[in-house]
Amino acid sequence: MSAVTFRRVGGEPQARRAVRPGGAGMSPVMLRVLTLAAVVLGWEVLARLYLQDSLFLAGPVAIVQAIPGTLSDPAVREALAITAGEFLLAFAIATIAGVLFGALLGATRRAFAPSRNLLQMAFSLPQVALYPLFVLWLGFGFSSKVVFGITHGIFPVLLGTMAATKMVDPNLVTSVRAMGGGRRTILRKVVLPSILPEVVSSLRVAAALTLLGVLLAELMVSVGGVGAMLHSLSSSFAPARLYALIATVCAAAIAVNLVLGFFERRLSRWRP
Amino acid sequence: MLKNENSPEGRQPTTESEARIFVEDLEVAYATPSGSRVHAVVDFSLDIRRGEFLTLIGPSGCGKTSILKAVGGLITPDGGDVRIGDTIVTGPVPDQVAYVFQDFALFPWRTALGNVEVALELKKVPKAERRERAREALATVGLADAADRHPHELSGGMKQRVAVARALVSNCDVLLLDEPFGALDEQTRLVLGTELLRILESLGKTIIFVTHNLQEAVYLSDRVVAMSARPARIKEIIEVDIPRPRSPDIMVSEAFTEIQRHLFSLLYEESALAMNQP
Repeated sequence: MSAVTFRRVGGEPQARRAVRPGGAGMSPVMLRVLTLAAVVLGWEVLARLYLQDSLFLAGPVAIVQAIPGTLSDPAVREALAITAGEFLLAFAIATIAGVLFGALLGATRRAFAPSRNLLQMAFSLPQVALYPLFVLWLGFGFSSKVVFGITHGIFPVLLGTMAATKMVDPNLVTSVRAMGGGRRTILRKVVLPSILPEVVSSLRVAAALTLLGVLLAELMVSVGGVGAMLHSLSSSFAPARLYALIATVCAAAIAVNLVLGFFERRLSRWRP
Repeated sequence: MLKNENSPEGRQPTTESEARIFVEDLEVAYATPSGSRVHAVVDFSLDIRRGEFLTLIGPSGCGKTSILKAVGGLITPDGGDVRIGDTIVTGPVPDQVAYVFQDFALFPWRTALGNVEVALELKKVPKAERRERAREALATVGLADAADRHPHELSGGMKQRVAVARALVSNCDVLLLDEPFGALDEQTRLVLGTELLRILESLGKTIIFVTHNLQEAVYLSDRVVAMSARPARIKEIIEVDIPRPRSPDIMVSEAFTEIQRHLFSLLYEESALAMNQP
């Protein structure tokens, strides 16, 4: 009898609301959207009240209005193309080299601990301080920016792949050997599928860091690319265009992250 | 990887014609992290008959697994050799030998069906055929309904049965079972043991089984080899002449408990020795 009463009370929507009043019944997604909307709205209101004709800030509406114009500007397009090219090349190299060397170091028992310590130390260095050296060795152009992107992006890939490779189940390797599999089969059927989720999740971090490296290089030496354009826009008193470009870069970064996140979830489906 | 030692008609001594696996003067040693070598197995010789269920039982860490790995070609012995039929084992022999490991060694990203299929994939069996054979093997172990589940959705006993199905699917004559029930609780172990026996009795495979469970050893085996503490030597070979097919009630029979008691006294001493080994 009491059990029945319990279930009924628990199932009543009113009962829930009575325990947790206010907006607690809202879904997390809804909460996020509303928070964002409130921030944007507040920003717009502030911009309209206090920042008319500001040289440094613009409201969201003005920014959004400026996006088409900014994006159709050939100079902006060229800058975006340059940065995108640099980013993609740097990210590709960081991915390929990071996975190859990471897997190699992760599979070599003796090399694992020393190389991991070294890489972790290198990862913790503020590379910005070293950028003058990159310029000294590689010049101002394309290659120094790409290399700076690689050196930012490669560490998480190396460390992530190393850790994942070390975690590969040795029993699975033995089992495949017993079934007649050679090194290549082990790599294809055991190592690769085991490390893939970790590798992709390290690529999410690597993508953000590679972009950071490329943009930093462009901001500092100011020859071509989005970074250089942001630099010049920030001193040319056209805030709406500046923010529109920033918004574009952020949107692109978020898109890359979402795509990698999608793959990460797909590849991790077998995990408990 | 088998190499022919003799032509088939070259050797047919009557005593060996019934045997399937020959282990001669096997010696296996391991390098410890400090660099010294520890002998896991020395002077181990044994012939396993065709269709026999042979159990190696002994204290943990005594080298039973090393013997099994040497028979399957997963390690190269430091001395002596292993022959399967007329050929010396020099590497894995997937056409003749299938394994079941203690921790099941299932691919977590593959379904139960995919885990069974992998054995056939490595033998380049065409897709449709391997799918069908894998389904059959799963049905044999009573898991037809779990074909599409991933290992994390299976119980320990079910995972173990997937591993058995994978060993059966390639139709090898020789099965090497390395503590296949080791990771299971006592009740599951008992039920699966009886079930495994029912399946295997009908298939007539040659089986080497490693365990440290006395009851299991006696119940499943034709012969039980009691081993010493490391390095592994044969202490005694016990024939279990309880007729087959066996049913679980024989476990309380006089003959059964007699053999189990005898094994216990053999192993107690060695286990005490083994406990004090590093």
